[in-house]
Amino acid sequence: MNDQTMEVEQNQACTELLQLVIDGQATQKQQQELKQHLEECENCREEYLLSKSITESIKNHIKPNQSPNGLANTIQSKILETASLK
Amino acid sequence: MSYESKDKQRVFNQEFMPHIDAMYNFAYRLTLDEDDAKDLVQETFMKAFRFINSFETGTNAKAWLFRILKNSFINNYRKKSKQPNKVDYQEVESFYNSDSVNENITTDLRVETVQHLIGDEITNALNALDVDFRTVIILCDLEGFTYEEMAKILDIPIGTVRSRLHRARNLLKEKLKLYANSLGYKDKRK
Repeated sequence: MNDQTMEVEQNQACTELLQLVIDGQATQKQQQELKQHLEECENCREEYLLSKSITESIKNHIKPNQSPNGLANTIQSKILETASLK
Repeated sequence: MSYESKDKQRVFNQEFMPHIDAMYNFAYRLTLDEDDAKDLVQETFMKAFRFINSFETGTNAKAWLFRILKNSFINNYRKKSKQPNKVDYQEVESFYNSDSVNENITTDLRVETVQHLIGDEITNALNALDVDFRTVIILCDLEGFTYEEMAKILDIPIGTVRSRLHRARNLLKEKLKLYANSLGYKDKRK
């Protein structure tokens, strides 16, 4: 294996780890592993902060709406209708 | 599982109806149209009632309903639209990784730029993504589903969920970069 291949594989492993942590699906060991790596690697640290800020922006800015008035009632009466036909 | 008729309505009201807002939001973000979203939610609930025997009480009702909604969306709306059914992910990926695209982007996207973007800009960038990419971001970041739940909702392996999510986020970054550039955000480090 040459240096370039190793670097590519290392990058891929970092990206995967980073994604797991940002999505809250990393084990404690993986979180620790990333934390250690971020202390040594500036590129990954920047990547981590950027990805995290985008995910947070999505969560903060895109707020859920309520379903339109009457939709729940329409659905429930249709269900009653369907149920009574049987 | 086979329910008595009165149990069907009880399960429906207790397990399914509480998710109506989440379902409407998902439908709206897929169709980007209020009326289409309403129709899609209604259709999903009718199907959920019809197939209620295949739902096991106590299992994840929200994921079950999201899966039905996503399948209905594919059946109804993909047929109507001129979009091809499947994105060639490889092609999109290599396109976005190519130098010819990157050389036009002079400003690197930075954390503080992202923090300056307002809701509309984030929403527009997300909505500009192809629906397959948009969907994984919605399910993960907005609805908080795990990779495993997403795999079930989308009928794809977990590995595909993760790679699609990664690509979706890269595409979103590109959109946000272009947005930031067009709004005149410059790298303040220089």
